[in-house]
Amino acid sequence: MTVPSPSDVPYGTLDLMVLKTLHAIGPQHGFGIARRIEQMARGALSLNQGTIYPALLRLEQQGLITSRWGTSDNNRRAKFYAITKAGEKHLAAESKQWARMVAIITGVLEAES
Amino acid sequence: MRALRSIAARVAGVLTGAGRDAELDEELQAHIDMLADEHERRGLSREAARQAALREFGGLTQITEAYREQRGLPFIDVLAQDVRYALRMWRRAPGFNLIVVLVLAIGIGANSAMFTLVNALLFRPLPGRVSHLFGLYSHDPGKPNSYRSFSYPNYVDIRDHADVFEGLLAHTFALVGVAQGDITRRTFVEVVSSNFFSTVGVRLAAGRTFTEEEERPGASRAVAIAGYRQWKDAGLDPAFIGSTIRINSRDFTVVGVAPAGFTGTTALMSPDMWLPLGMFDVVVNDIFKNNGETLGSRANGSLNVAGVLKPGVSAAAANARLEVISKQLEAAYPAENRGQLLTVGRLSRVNISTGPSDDTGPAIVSAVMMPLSGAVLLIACLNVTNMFLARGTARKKEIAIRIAVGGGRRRIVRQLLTESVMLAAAAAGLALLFSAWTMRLFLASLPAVLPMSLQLDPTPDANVLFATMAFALLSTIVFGLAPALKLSRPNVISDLKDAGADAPRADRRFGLRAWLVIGQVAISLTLMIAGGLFARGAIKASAGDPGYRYDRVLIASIDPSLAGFDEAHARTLVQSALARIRALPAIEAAGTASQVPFGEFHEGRGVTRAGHGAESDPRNARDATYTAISAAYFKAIGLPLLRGRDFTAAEETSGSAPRVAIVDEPLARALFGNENPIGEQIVLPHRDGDTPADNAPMQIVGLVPGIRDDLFQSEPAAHLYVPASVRYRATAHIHVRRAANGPGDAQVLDMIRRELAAVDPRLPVVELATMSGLHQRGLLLWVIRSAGRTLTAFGVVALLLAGIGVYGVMSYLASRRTHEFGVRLALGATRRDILWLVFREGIRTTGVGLLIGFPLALALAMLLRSAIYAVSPWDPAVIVVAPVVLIAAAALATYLPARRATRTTAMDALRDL
Repeated sequence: MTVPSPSDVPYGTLDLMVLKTLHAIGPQHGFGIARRIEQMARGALSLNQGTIYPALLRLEQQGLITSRWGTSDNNRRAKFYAITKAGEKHLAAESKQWARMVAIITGVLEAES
Repeated sequence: MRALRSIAARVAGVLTGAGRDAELDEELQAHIDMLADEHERRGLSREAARQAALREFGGLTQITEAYREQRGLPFIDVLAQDVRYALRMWRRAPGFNLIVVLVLAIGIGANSAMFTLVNALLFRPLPGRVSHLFGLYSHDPGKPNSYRSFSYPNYVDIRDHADVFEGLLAHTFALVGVAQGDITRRTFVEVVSSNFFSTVGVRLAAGRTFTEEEERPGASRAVAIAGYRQWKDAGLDPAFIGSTIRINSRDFTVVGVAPAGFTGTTALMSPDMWLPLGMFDVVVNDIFKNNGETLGSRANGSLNVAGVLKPGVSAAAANARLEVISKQLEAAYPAENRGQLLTVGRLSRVNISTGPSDDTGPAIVSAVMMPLSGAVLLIACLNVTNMFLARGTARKKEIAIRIAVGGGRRRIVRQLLTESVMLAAAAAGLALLFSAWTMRLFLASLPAVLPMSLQLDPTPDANVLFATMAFALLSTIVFGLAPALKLSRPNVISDLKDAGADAPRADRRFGLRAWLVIGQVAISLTLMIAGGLFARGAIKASAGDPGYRYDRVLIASIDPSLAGFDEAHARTLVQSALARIRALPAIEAAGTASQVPFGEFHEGRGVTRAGHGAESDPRNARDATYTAISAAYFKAIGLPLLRGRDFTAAEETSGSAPRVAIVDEPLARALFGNENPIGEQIVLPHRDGDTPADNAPMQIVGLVPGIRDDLFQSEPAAHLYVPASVRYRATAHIHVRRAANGPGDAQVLDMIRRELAAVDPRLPVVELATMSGLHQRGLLLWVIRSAGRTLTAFGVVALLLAGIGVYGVMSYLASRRTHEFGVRLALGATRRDILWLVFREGIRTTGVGLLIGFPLALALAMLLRSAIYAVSPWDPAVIVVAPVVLIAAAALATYLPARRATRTTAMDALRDL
């Protein structure tokens, strides 16, 4: 099976994945977030790493994450992002929504005709 | 919530964008470095690691673009980009853009100025609550056109009992004499109830309003509220309150000052002063007084009433309530109020009348005037369109490159439109300045003898600003859209190759640009001819006489009523004055008349033949101007008696109102056909307010030629002359003819002034001048002249624009044919041949323009003629001169590019290949 390309990722889910990452591992820079997402997808997803930056900006504009310049592990200057309380709430609500939708569609698709 | 925060963040992004770019670069570089480190750890070389990292990251440029789009508001970013680009383009060709802005500014400015007038007349919100005022009207529904004014007692009853009104005011106008040096200046004042200013909803600039005591009929408390301009003339001195003004030979104390620009209940014109109703009986003279009754009489209807309805009360509800009140009034005072019904209706912005009236008159005038200035704007736009198209050739390469690297057509159109909008905006700003300056000139040229003051604020208000922007937008669409669309669809390949201009047309028909110029030439010719004809008409009208020659005729107008003299006393004074003047050796003849031709007031009445029961049928009546004259009036003005005799001295002074009359030819023809009217009897059919003596038959004793009353009349109107002893009018116009071999005008005027002062030093002299001097100062004449000046100005502007237009197009056409010229020159053509080639093009274009413009111009002239008879469409001076001037301008405009074309060398032309 070919690795789905980033354009196959439905719009908006990238944002959720970023939020989930930050929720799970705490404040992280862009590179780290991208790597982590790839890890969490267990290699089934190959991102063009640059695409998370517009998503990060979007989340920051909506007040779901904040940013701060800091130093990375190997002493590089990098921008670190952290999830906010509003982000946590949003993540929880959207995750529940997503699960519900998946269940509904699965139910429809698997229903005996 | 998130959406709001997002938008706010993006707006911030627009503003701070530039600085963040560096930050983003740093962040992305850090990311790529970390990726490269990873690859290096896996064993790749530094170089290879970097490559791999870049690949894995994805397109750096695309990411940066996507990020930037997310960060700001794309629409504004693009707009900012376009604006910056436009400014860069401007710097490259400042001359061109300056001309465009000037041309547009003239066009937009003309419209802005015209609209300022229209706005002040029709749209500008009036101060206070004036726009919420309803007029209260009273009429008998059983009789047509029976609207009448209110009496003071009726007004008070309605005011106190009609609970539908929050305030009800009463007012009327009076013509009074204010002392200014040794001349008494006649001016309008408004006589108002004590609640006038509060009902209208304005605060005085200083002092207080009238008290209820001062409003009471017969109170005669001589107080006045002055206009703001007078206070300003007195230097805004606080002592102005309490100073005295001499009105009708009485001293009035100033107790208040109206706010600046206050015009009462109408737009544009305002009286100079306000007096309380208590002074009504003292100042209201015969024109506005009704049958000599006093203010306190219920039978004297002379007030106009208006008021503000209580909040929540509609006009219909008010009318219902008023119907009840009407019945109550009728029951209480049947003699005066029988059959009267009270109603409310909208107030006109332009006149004060006893019946409801709307403003269709001024609206129609405005609808006619605006297209005139619109025509100027059209020419300006055509001009600019042409210039833009011509410019387009210079930018073809740039646009072709932009399209080649992927710029969409829409983007280019948007960019060109942005340039156009910016030019129009700059022009609009300049236009507002032009317009305000023109308005100031206009106000300064107003004749000083207007009995009312014109309150026109030349600074633009919101309406004018919006209108100006609308004009600018409209012109942008006209001149910007077409070139933008045309230019954005170029032939990319040939433009990139810089293959010079597009190939010369094989056919010899006119291209788009040529048609635009033809249009300009046509419209210019129309405006020039119209302006010229109107100007000539104005000159003729100003020189025109009413039917008799003005030389050696002087006029002295006196109005004893302005000093409070009653009728009997006034008659004596007028007789003394007349006798003294007649006694002067320098005077050939002197006589009085109750009105002056081309003057501001005319009284008219219907006249019928007596007997045959004809007088009871109003349809047999012929309208005639009704003038009361003394003996020797016709001698004074030099009008010959065709048949019969003039009034005798006895008839002039008789106390028994002799029943004789003199008619003029138009009236005689209307009533008696070709028969001799002398000896026939005529009668004035009954009219409200007539006494029985007024309707007794009169015998015709004399016949004179007709004269014109009105500058706008082409034919003399019918006149009926009666002896002065029959009909009393307060103002006596003494017409004086001085002897031919005696002292000159100035000296005789002096002599007359001394005689009048000798009669009674208090005698108000309203006018003392030569007839031609009086004529020159007339209001109507000023109107005609101003219109003439305006149209001529439009014509000159149109000529200028057309000249620029022709120049632009000829330059363009010539530049297109550089290659062709070079080849011709190489093959042996002379410079003169080239000159002629270009010239021929110009002649053809201008010629077609003239052919189209001529019939248009004549049609417009015919239209004007119906307004002013003095405008003759076949005036050779204008019809010949205008096209000649236009041709000369076009020839000059063509010559310059033609000369430039002759300087083409063969090398230039071939280099363009």
